[in-house]
Amino acid sequence: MLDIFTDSPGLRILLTGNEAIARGAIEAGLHVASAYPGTPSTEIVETLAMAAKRFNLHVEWSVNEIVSLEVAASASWSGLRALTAMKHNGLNTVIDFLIALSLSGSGRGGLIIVSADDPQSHSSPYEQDTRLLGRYAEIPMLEPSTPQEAKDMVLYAFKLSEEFNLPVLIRGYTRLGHSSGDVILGEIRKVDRKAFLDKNIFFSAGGSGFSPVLHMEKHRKIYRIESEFEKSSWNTYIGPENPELLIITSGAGYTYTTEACRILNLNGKVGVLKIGTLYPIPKRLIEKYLNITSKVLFVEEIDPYLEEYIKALSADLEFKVKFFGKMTNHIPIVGELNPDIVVSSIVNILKCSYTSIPQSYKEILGEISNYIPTRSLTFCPGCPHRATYWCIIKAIRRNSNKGYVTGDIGCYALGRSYHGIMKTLHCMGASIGLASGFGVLKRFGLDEPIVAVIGDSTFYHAGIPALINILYNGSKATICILDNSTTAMTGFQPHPGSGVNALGDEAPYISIENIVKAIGFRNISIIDPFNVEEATEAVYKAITSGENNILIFRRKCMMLTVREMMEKGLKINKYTIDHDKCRSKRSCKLCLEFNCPAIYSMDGVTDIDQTLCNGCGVCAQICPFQAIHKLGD
Amino acid sequence: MYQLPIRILIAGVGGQGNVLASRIIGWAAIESGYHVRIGDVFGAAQRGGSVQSHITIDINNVLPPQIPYYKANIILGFEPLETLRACIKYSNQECTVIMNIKPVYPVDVLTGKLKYPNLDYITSNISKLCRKLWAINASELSVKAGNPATLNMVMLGALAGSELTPIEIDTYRSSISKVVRRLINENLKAFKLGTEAITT
Repeated sequence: MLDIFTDSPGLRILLTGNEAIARGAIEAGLHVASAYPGTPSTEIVETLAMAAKRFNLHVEWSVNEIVSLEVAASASWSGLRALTAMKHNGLNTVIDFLIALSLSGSGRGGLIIVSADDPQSHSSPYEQDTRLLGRYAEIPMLEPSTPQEAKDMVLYAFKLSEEFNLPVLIRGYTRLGHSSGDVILGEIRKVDRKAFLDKNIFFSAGGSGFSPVLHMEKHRKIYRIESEFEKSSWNTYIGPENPELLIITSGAGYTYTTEACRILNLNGKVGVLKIGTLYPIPKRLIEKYLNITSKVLFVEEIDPYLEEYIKALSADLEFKVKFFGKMTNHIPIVGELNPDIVVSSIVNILKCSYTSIPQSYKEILGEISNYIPTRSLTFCPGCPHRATYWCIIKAIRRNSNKGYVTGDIGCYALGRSYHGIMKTLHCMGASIGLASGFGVLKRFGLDEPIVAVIGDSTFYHAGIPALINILYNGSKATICILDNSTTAMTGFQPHPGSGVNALGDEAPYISIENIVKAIGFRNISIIDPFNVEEATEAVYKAITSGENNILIFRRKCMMLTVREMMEKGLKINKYTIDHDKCRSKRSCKLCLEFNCPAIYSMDGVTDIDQTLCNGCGVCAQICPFQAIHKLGD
Repeated sequence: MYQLPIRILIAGVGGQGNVLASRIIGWAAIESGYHVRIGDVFGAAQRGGSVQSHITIDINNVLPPQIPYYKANIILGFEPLETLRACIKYSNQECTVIMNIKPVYPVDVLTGKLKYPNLDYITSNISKLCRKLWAINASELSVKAGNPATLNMVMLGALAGSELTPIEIDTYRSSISKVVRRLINENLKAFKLGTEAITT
């Protein structure tokens, strides 16, 4: 078996970008790691959790990102090395503390924040550029292009953080964290430190009067870091002395640019300046390279960060350079890049000719019908969320279609495409905050019951303050908490309601019902979504009551249930259709409307795929003709 | 000999084990002395969705996580529709395609909203888009190996057997032992069946 934490310096192994970051942290002698799971960053702390006992680390899944950064900052203030990782949305939730932290400093221990962007929004509510927030917070920022750089940058970032008493931000992204490459391992250093509280230091952002002093101090640090970055080996130039076109790039953009230059065979014409130090950008280095060319193309993902920054730096130059990039429509302003985007941009600017495929092949392609059915995403077979939504939909239909559902972040966000039941989807916790707002609009004529749908992990993360708001401000709503006892979306990480911690050790169980009871809610029901009639009745009663209701739909994630059953050697009770009773040929399609991947219709006959059925039994309850039953019954 | 870089694209459906297969190729490439970069798209958003792994093997160490359009040397298709989808974007007149012929129907096909193209239509179109198409019943072979979850190893065996990569069959085998955690005998058997399907 492979061991990614093997102490074998010089060994070359395959690591994902996220594993490489974790490995780098272990090589740097990490002490504390904390995170709230978020794609594509989750595997960093998940990997560190696996190493926790071996290297005597504290590793935790924090309740949300701001707490996770606070936990990491406490460690670095105590002189220890700490790392926290999050997806780009998480960085938004930490920004208040982060800016204060940038002023108070990170202490004597090194502090690294990894924020992973998701260009193209593969698994995020939206795409967003971490780099703008890094610059906003005015903290040093690095971006790796390969897993090898990701590992090595972590070691450098710890040193930088400790030298300048500032947190260091590393920009991750989907095509780094979820890509793999060969990485040469370094030595694992044991950094033997004892946590130490220096009570002579007042850690703060300065407050009134003193904050500008600290702000000035931070700027002096950034100025010194900029001179260090002038000589940094993270910034490289490859190309001729006077290229016709200079491409300034970073991150994945660097690898796409390298590939594009290879495809176009342009190495004598194009120079590539890769920027690994995103903030502060070293001004003299940029000046030096702007001076060797007359045309510059920026290849970067999401926002025109380098483009705007470097254009601003060039305003003071005495010579003129023509800039191309997102601001001139030579690179798309949204979405992720790929080698072909860079190829066509270079071709466009240099007016060179390039054909990717011969004309004859293009003609063949043109003849082929482009009819390829898409694969829309759906809940897994037996997912309790599907059953919950089914019951909510039925209850709302029974209530003359009155009922408005606000949604939240998690697997259950797929509710947006489940008969269109979910009407809002924004950020962690927004379902309840929005319900709180809609629930006070009755006096203005809003007379629909408001239903918030939120998952268990999201409830702990950001649901509780908004819930207090509902009660305190006299709002009225039904809050459905979809408790599947795990953070399923990101790969089944435990949370405060799971009874175990990041290391898999037993942990106190923080009860959702005790929390809502303590806030002061009175109508609290615990419901099994697999009991369709009871669950539908509970939703109907709640939305017609005119009162506040908490409905906890409790059913373990089916993927976990199946996994546990396999481990115990238990068999799943699968379901089948009795074709004598089934009326699918007479246009009954109710079970198909349930939209379970295990239920299919072939040539007008409806059936259940035995390899996919996970035995939840909800379809058997939905069928009005009792045609679905357990296999063998 | 082999012209570098070698670009291999694995196309399939979430849950078919494309990530594990790509990692085994990655380890085998490293073992054979090459640099490698693999771009996978995975995560909760891909449950039941289309998934692709883009693998580039080279002597350069700065490699992209995405293969350029029409530049795949080999497309390893775990599912017919996904193979066609990948071929339209990444195949070329020199590309070799190895495809499993067992479909996995999209949800919208199952519920009767969309139609799945017939298999002959898919294979004839893929044949037009590449130099050579090997269509094998890898799903059947995986069942023969003792577990349908070994489909990815059958396909890997077929890739190794094609001798289109600069990696020895034994190197693939040792990488499987390095990466695979469960059902190691079934997986190695599936790999062998895949190799035989191509070489005999």
